[in-house]
Amino acid sequence: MSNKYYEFENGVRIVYGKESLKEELPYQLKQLGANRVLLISGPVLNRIGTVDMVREECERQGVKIQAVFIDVPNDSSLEVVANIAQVYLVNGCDSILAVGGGSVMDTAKGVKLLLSQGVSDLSKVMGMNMVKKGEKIPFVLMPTTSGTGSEVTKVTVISDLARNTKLEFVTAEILPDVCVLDPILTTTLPPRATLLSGFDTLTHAIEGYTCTQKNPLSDATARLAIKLFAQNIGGAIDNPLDLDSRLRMMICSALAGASFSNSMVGAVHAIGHALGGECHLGHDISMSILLPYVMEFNYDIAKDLYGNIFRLMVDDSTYKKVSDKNYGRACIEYIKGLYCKLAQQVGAATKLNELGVSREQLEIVADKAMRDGAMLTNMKALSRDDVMNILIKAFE
Amino acid sequence: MKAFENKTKILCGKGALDKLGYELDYFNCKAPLIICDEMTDKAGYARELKKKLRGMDITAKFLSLNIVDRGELSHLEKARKAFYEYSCDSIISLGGGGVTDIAKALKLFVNTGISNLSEINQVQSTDKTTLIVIPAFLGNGNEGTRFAKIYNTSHNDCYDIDSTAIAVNAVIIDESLSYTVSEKSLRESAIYALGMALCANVERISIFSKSYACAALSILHDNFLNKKRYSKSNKNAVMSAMIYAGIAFSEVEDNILIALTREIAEFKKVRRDIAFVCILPHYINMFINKFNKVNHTLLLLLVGDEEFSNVEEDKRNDALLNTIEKIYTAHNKLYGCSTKLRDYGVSVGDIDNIIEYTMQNCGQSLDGQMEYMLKEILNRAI
Repeated sequence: MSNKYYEFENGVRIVYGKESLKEELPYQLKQLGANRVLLISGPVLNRIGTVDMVREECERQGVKIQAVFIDVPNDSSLEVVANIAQVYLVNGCDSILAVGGGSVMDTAKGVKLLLSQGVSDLSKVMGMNMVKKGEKIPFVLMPTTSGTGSEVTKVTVISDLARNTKLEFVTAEILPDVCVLDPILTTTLPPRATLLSGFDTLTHAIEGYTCTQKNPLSDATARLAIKLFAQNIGGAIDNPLDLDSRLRMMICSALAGASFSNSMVGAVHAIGHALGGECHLGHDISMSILLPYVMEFNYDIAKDLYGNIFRLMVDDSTYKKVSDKNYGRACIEYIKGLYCKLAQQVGAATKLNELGVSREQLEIVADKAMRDGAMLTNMKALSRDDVMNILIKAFE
Repeated sequence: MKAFENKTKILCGKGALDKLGYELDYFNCKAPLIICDEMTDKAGYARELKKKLRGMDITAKFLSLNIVDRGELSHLEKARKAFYEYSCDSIISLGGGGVTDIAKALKLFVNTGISNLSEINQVQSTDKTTLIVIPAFLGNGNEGTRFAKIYNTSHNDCYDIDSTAIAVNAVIIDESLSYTVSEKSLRESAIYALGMALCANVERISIFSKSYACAALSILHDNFLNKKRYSKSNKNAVMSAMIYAGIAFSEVEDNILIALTREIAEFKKVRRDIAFVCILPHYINMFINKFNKVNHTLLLLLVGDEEFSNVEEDKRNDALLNTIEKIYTAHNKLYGCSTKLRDYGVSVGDIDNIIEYTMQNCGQSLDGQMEYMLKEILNRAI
């Protein structure tokens, strides 16, 4: 048994349950010494009233929302981060509360990093573990999707529009002090978004479980996430107001986030990043479509692990029906079938050509994917031809 | 509503100790006080650590304390004096559970400015002092928790500290610090870790804590169960399982199992981990139907996917109990380890007193059914 070195860190206080917005959020902010909060969110959440709901609850319980920024775009950038940091400073804020999906949370993490490190140019601290512990700034995240897992990860990705590139920051400095998971905030997520964000979570868990940097703790969190996903994705889509399913999907997202944040991801993410950059596809739809095809590629090395995943996802009678104990293969077919069935139900794409991607673009995507760091931690090494084969299968 | 919090960073595996410098650097620490016990010092581990720190921009001060089993007030006072005398900015504990507890209590003192443990409930504390724990030998499961126990033997007293202010910032689990451990000690620790992980899995704790318990069980499955010889990496893995099980178990609220363990430890002077290990399987046996939903997960983790699939669904409770019994039997046969309380001086005649003290301290009244269950558990454990 090898004793490969690994690290695991989940330094976030995770508070979860129905009514946690009312019963925990203001309390947690006060515990952190937050007196003048900057609330960060996005325009959609503002329009549907989520921002007002959060602000009113905080102020009702004596937590002052000093300033609000509700214009975080879908794809965050250094400029947006710098603007928000200015809002924080100009208004004399002393803490940050972000309410939203992956983009809002990633932006907020960038803001926190900029302020706590006292730098004016975030690109100076990009990379892995490039900073030391900085100034203490109370920082709370409330996700409204499930999700990216950003509420518990040490990673954030911010676009540098001037250089047309994405900057990655990996450091414990961007972990929030607290994340509050209240399912009420995800009930407005439409079925299609519920499905895609759910499969994003599943991909995190599966890639965390099967990458080369896996470790016992990342495995344990991934397994729990996979089981929760299988038990609750259907319920969350069929009944968007079912708070129990919604809560479990939020927990699933946090567990999957903890897993990949402490191991790595693989080819699904590498190719997905390239699709996002070249074809401007959303991260979640890329993950959802690519996952089974990358699993097929990894099959001969990962089949036992896929068998374990299958065991977690299905009940006994389904498990026993698998012929020749080919559980790894059954796992891939199960995931593919599950996505297709649910995608049809909610009107989501199952192939890349349905999303306006052209065959010519696949070549550029393959080139970009080969340069992505996540390729290095995929369980099985891929050549450019392998990536093209995956893309072609996912294309039509 | 539930909450989970464990800010302890885990660094585990071959070469983990080499990361100490990076961790200190991240926390802007340059002058740690390194507290160890004499056994750790004699084993050469302090010397090992000094070698690692050579060449780094760190001025470490070492303090070796004669801690045998548990941390005493007198040790804490020496550590506090040394911290201020040497103008240290962080704390590292190197050694067993007693040293870890002293280091945690010292962190509380430094964070709050108090010098008397009786004042701990009167002060607010922030987590501003870095504490890194480096367990030597096999640890005691407390390395990653917010608990510490400091004894005042002269007054026959003990301080129980429960505070997030003593949270450990990082635990470094390096195989070079456990290779001298005997196989008997390894088995005792592994069984205790198994017990804590099993208990954590069946009780109502957060799912995030359960992930630590599940990790511990998986590690024990791969590195302890069905093995007769243990390599360095097996020992290191068991140490990590102990710590993860301890993190999960620290969230378990007082239950009958914990109450019984405490009473046997205090009343009959049996080591607490041994009392726990002796009682656990009978506790699970007695309440197995209450734990029904998690039994399948436990069995899966203990036996692995292939064997699990061969067990019919309605036979899984029995399979779990049989598996635990097999583990205990194997443990008993090898190296003279015992999981029977009679081998530790507890007799059937002690049962009534143990139950009475347990119920008194739980603040519960004894009804017929509860009395029957407790007697059954103890009879089987003795």
